[in-house]
Amino acid sequence: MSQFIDLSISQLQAGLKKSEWSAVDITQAYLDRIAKLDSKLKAYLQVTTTLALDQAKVVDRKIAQGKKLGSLYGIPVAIKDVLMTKDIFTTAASKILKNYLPPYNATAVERLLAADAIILGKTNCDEFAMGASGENSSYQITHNPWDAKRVPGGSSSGSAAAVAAAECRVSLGSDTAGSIRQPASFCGLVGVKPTYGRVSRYGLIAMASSFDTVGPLAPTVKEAAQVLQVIAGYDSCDATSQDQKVPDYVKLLEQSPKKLRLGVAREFFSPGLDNKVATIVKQALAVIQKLGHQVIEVSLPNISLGVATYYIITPAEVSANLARYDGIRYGQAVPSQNLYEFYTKTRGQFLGSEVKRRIILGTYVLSAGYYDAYYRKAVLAREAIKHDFKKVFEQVDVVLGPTTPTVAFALGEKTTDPLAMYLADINTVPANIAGIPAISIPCGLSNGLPVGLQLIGPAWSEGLLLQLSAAYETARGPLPLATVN
Amino acid sequence: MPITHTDIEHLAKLSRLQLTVQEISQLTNELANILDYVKKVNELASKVTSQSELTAPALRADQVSGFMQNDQLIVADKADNNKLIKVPPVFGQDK
Repeated sequence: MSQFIDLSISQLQAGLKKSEWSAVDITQAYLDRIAKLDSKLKAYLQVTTTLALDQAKVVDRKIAQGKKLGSLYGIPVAIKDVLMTKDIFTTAASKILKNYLPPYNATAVERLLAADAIILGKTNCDEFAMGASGENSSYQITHNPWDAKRVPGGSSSGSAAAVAAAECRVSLGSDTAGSIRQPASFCGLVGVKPTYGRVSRYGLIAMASSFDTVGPLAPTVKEAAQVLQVIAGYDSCDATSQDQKVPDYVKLLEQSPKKLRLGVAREFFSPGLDNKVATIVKQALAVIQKLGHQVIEVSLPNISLGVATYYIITPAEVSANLARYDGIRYGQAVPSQNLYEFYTKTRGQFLGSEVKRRIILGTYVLSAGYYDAYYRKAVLAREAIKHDFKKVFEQVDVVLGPTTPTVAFALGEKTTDPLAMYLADINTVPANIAGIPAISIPCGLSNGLPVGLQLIGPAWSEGLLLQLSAAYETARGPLPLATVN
Repeated sequence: MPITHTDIEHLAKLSRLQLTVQEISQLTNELANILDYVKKVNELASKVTSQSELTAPALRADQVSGFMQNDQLIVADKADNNKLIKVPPVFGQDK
């Protein structure tokens, strides 16, 4: 495995082309590494050993026969367990979907398969993607490869831990309030939340349908771009998918961005921000400024209320989206004498506490007498935050700041205080509210733990964000990887 | 108005969730804190005065088309031989 552990997508494929190794070699090496590490790391809920090796053999045959290969051929990927994978158990890390076998692939998964990627398995996450630490999974708690006593972040906990520990090369996650970017920041990875509508949500188990997005986690900007290239684009199966041309993200990385106006929003540097994180992020901003860009202080006056806005609208959507988990058509069930008890006992027994909390909260804010006071107000508040970004992007091209207020926190630190856990997403949730793209890229270490720099752009600006991130990554130089043995 | 145990029990009924006594008690406290925090959206809401300012993503046209994979969606152990899903009785139930 050690020969593959540091090799990028391009390097792995260069070796495949020269027959230095095979896709089966790469796949077996990664599977061996999972077997060695994952009993402690717990990134994977399921490892699809036979399927992965079969896929690798197909790739090797295609190479031998000189057939056309997809752009991710031979590359080991992991899939967050909220994305449907045909005939592979998909649970959303919930007991209510134990042993559920989807009849179709999510579009993002289908596109990875069409690109000849090798799926190693399904990764752990917070139940139904509800959480910011990974601790809400109903199956197991994933550990941060940088420090096993700390969270990897959530909700894409397993997807982040697996990439950081080289248990796959890249992974897919989902991001509704920061669930790709925050674990990317905690685990020293690049994480991309695309524009809402950029990547199909078909086959993504819905949490909050107006916020959910699918995106990549990868060790480098180029590799994140390579995955995004494959999964982005219109899909008629997703009513909110936008028919917007997909640029050649990978080609864009070959050029440095033109001189940009970069906004540093003062609200991202609020009192809750850890001092060391602030220092490291400011050092990163200085590196970017030296690349020839103009840095301007800006204000997004309403984003500090993003969490409040989000935690009205999202539970409302959750309460509707999770109504389908009633044990009737799929999933686990508690046999009962009448239908009402069937529903209540099934959902009561098999849904976890955070899920129940959000369903109850969502039902409350949508109920008669409270709808106007909460939900309708939150929908208006969402517009105010969108307006903040619209105004700022008239002055600047990209907004930068820390991805998270702290580095990875300790396991158990926030589990007894739901509100404290919600506030972990204070810097990431505004981009979801506005539906705009954002990237987290590692910018340093604080006491040995990764710090993430977040770049936010206007809708459809993934190419620019990736370009700027790549330029910063080159200027920053290499950062150490997590050491996991 | 603070949220009460009775409110949580009512919400649980609406959401078809059976909760334990401990869960009801815990949720009562937790929701009180969360609702106290989120009510600050009122500050923002007043800045958006017109319904017409609301934006939404463009949706594709709502065109009906056939769905050919019904069989695949019915999980084998939930259905009988005629692909009908059996559920407990609705009528005559005690709530």
